[in-house]
Amino acid sequence: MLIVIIRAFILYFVIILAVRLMGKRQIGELQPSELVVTLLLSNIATLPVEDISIPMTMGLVPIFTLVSIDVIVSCLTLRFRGLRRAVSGSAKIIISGGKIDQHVMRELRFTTDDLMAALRSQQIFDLNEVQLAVAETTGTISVYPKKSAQPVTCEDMSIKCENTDPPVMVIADGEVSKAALRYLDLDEKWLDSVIKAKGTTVENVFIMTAENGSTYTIIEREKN
Amino acid sequence: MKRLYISIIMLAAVISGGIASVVYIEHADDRIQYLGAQIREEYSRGEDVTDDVAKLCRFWEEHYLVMCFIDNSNDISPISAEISRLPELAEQRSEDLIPQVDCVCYLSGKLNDKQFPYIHSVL
Repeated sequence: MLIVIIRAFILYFVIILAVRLMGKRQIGELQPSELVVTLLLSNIATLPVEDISIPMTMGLVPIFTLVSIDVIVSCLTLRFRGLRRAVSGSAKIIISGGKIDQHVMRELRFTTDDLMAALRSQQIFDLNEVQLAVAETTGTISVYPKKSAQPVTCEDMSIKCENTDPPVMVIADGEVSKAALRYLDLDEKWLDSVIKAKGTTVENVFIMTAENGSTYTIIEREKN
Repeated sequence: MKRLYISIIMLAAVISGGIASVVYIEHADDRIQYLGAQIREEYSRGEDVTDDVAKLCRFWEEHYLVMCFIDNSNDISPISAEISRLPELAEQRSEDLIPQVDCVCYLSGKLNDKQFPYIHSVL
């Protein structure tokens, strides 16, 4: 029993390491090759835990081999377009110029229900609002609505808008993020002065976000 | 790029580890086959084989742990069990000694064959 616990403990960290090595893409939508590796990893990892007669190396070796191959292949696909197409496939246009390509839908085995569900997930409930829809290699549908169905922008209204970065979390639960201060080109002196002006302390700040030195929001911790 | 280098190093380590394990078990099998042949020869000449049997047992004890890292213990343990009977059979100069040595050699050969990626074992 103890062996199983220790093995599970080791494999937990090994799998985390493997997934981290595969990169951030792994966590979001999966490419076909990544899906295959994920399925295999989860299966292989259970073998040495379930059966203690199997040495740990029999579990670790295929995990590291699969992850290494996946990273190497994904690096090769960056350089070679043909390999990228072979491994991940290519995006297919389902709706072009507002017209559904039924042949592509049949080819992708995509039903009308699938299409409508994908459009609804993009906040489009009327098929006539779609100018272009593309089935991505990850299986998701990207939709470009017709100009008439797109929200009004500052440009449409001929209004001058300033482009600014979104606010950054400077203090989270009483902890200062030095990386956020560096990103905003601000320092702790500025932070202290702002906190003092609010009449509180860093420890008592629940959330503080800032866009720049003059635009910030401070939410204090509620007292129980 | 860092991930690529780590992956290449890891893959190289895994491949070299795989090759090293094949070489290790092949070396161990060669030694077991050699000692087995020596025991058979000395036994047929009517000589005392306890020293060679002890050598075989010692050799197996030294390599048993490493082998457990390389292969399934279900395949290693039967060889240990067969080898553990050898000293007693050698002391008694039993007729069963040679079939027992043959069995050890056969199991060791089978273990060695299992390591090498022949098409039949890969598929």
